[in-house]
Amino acid sequence: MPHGKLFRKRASVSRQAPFVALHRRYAPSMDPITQRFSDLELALNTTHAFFEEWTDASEQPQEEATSDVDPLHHARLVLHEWLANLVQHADFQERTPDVVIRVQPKANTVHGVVVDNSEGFSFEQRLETQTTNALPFPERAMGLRFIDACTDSVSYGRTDDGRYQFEFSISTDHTPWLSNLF
Amino acid sequence: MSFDVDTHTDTTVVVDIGEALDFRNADDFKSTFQSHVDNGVRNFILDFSDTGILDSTGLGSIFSLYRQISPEDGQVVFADVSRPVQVVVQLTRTYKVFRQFPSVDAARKALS
Repeated sequence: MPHGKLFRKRASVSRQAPFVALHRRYAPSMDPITQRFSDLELALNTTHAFFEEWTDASEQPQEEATSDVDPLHHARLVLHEWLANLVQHADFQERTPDVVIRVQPKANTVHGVVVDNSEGFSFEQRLETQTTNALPFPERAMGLRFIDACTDSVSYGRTDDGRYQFEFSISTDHTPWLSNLF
Repeated sequence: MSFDVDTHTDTTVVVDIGEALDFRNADDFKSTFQSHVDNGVRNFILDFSDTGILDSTGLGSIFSLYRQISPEDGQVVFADVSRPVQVVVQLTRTYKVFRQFPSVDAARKALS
């Protein structure tokens, strides 16, 4: 049964950090990537490899760093959690997975998209379940909460061609904070 | 894949987390710490110096360890925390629970 309802979260002003300067600029070598995978493990490893290159290219000396918030690290975590979710929980029926990952690291913002051919799920419902049923020091079911906390905006829903698209953006003026873990 | 464990004292060990603690090896980590908990170890120094990935499942496995040893005054401490791990620590505010040390040696001294 396909899940057609679009989940969409947008940042509110209150989530902005008042003391974060917007001076972090990424190196010009950090071109957007678009990669297609049928092997989810390879997708995970390749994504991490790209982010390692980007973080190496953008690393600032500690004394020059203008912000503790780095969208690249948070985007890497978000994509990892999403791909881990696909590996562990996605229902591809009998189909070979077909996953397209697009990442665009712009100045002060990272934008990411993952499109897959799974049966999808209700992001909103599962996030609510994870949040509502959370116990102190949970061992599982934190992935979507990580994603929600890290991102300025998230959307997830069915595309016109029957695939599922996860899309997010993270900027330097976002202060990620996942509360109520303990 | 098992984790390298260095015994510091009868009750304190150092676990080298390596490149990743995530959904792929969290069960291995749990097996590793469980055998030491069963043998009386109560203090765990987690060496994150080479760690590029700590995800929600990996953190959950550390919570599992903490839940076991904290009632018996055990400690889990983080040493030489890499930037990707620091991102998770800040995101989840777990620095309130797990003390951090700049190096494994500093953690060893603190727990001696």
